[in-house]
Amino acid sequence: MDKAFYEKSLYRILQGRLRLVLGDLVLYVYEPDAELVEESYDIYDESYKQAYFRGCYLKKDLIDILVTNDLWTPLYEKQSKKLEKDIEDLKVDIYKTFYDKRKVKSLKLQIRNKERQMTDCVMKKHALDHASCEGVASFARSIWLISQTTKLKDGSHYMWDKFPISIVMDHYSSEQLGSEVIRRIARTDPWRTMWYAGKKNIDIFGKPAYQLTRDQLALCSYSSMYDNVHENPEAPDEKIIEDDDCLDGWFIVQRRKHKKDKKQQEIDDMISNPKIKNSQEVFVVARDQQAANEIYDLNDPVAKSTVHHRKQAIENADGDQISFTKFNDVRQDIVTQSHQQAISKIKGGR
Amino acid sequence: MSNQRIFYAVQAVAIAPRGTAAIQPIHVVHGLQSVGMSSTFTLDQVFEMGQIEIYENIEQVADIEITLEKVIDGYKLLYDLATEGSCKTSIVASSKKRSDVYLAVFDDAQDHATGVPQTVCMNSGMYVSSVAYNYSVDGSATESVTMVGNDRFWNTSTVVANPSTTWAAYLGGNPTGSGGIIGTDTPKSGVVRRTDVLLGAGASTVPAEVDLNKGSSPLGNSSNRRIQSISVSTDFGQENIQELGRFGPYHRYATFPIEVTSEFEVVSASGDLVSVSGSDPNLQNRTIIIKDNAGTVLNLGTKNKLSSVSYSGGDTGGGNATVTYSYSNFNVLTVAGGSV
Repeated sequence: MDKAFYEKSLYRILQGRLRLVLGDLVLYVYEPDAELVEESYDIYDESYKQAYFRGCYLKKDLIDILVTNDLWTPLYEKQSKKLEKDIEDLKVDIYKTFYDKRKVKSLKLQIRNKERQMTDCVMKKHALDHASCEGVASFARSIWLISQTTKLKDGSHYMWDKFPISIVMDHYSSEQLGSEVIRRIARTDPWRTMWYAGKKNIDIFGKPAYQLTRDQLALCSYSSMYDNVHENPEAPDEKIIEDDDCLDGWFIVQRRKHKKDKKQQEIDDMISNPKIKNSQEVFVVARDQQAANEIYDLNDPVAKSTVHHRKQAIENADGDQISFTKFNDVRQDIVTQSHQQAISKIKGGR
Repeated sequence: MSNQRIFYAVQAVAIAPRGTAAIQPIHVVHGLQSVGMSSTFTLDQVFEMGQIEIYENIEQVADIEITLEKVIDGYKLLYDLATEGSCKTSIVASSKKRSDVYLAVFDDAQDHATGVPQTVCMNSGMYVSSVAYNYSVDGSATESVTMVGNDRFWNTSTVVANPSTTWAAYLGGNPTGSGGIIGTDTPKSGVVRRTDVLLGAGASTVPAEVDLNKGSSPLGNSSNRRIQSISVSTDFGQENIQELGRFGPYHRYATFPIEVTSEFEVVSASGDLVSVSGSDPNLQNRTIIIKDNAGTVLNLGTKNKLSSVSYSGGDTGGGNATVTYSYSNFNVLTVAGGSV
């Protein structure tokens, strides 16, 4: 997409409306203000009641129907979580290999592919949402909001004489700005200059935060995010900041590092006994598997691999006791120690 | 072993007399905070004249060490479990007792949840190497015990007999006997905090030097002694005895005399108040007995002598001046208290 598209989108956000040209008719779909949003929930409640008494399902009841008709299984949820983790890992990879352009291209393809798969998994669970009380009520609320916020150029309400509301709704939905567009706007001019100027004068949109539209809030939020990245003492290269996937990877790396450091600090604070703190293996009491997983997450990749290989060795022993000296990592350490001792003995003998 | 730390999630720890056929709930450690394990390998290289390659690399027996720390909570103390109660009578008997330490380790699988331990680490024939007790004004009173030995095993399905039945029965919330962890257990006496240290008249006996900074109008259990912390520790210095024809040691022995040290940190109002004379002996034997609300009694006997006094703090940073009185005796420490 070219620069003009981003500028056009920026001014659309600033105006707080979507300009629709339908033949010779120009319509403006405004973002609803707080009063309208509040009122829209009356419509939601009313529609919900009507749907409920008409016998529509509740959203929570749809799960059984989805499972019975083989439209969804809990495995999709598991798969979705795995895909989410895979995407995170790929974004970390892309951040770490940013300067290998060929690899970056391949990783980006993988990310997009997994994002599609994840969307499919998620969509499957929501396939029948439109038929639920909540779905019907949400739809009624959206129609009402569009009907109240679609206006002609002179500010008068459109009377829906030429185009039905569904056409406007379709356009409104399809022309929603994606996060990648808003992020690009947030880190580039002309918005960046406006943002810095606005920060000094506080009200960049000339109205309080609660009156800002969704896109305006998103733009402010991303702008603050880029400010924070630039102010970070370990800020990544500008080229990384400009690439959404790479920057996401950097965020994930920072988040994981922070989480690990925090947990490590907690454990260090908890273990006051220096003998235990400096032991090769530290055992921390966990009350459930979730707590256990958090403790295992304290291990770095090498330690995790050691735990994993030891577990395999124990399982392969088929119930028999296995001496810890038989673990591969222990054997390797003995060999390393032996080599070091041999070297120092030979050198010491000179 | 490398210096890198490996973190394990442990479900429960049990200390049983050596060779116990099946772990019982009474062997489970309550109030456990953390455990550290380390191992040391000794290798002997033999070279041969005329050959650059090593002639033989001889592996000596590995030394393993496990340190456990628990809060003092009215349940059996680690030292008690590790010495089958000998700690109540004699340090000599305690130094000879051997026990097996079992750690029920959680699986590292991300989506597995069960009350049955997946892996059990067994440290066999462990001797008590050192013991330490610590009471301080901030935090819980703790007991720390280090044990040494030469055998460590891991397995999936056997804790001597079978962990699935012997451990899971009480780790999974269905205790078959008193003393197990049932998931809703609470400290037997309450975890010992500063208010639970019995320093009033007729309770603990502290050396006269510690009382030099004593205030007036006693309140609570403190007896206005201004004590900030008390620590008692000893190190048995267990050493191997080898014999011809055997790889491992046939016995470990404590290197007597064993020094038992105790330290009292006191907020000072007017210095350490300890006078030293060059013409006459300065020190007297002191009786030290520390008691707390959990029923713990640390008896250091009657022949404790002041070994050092250090004065610290009171600097421009605004910290309080404190005096630490250190005492030592030899071969006397009995520890009582705590029950199943």
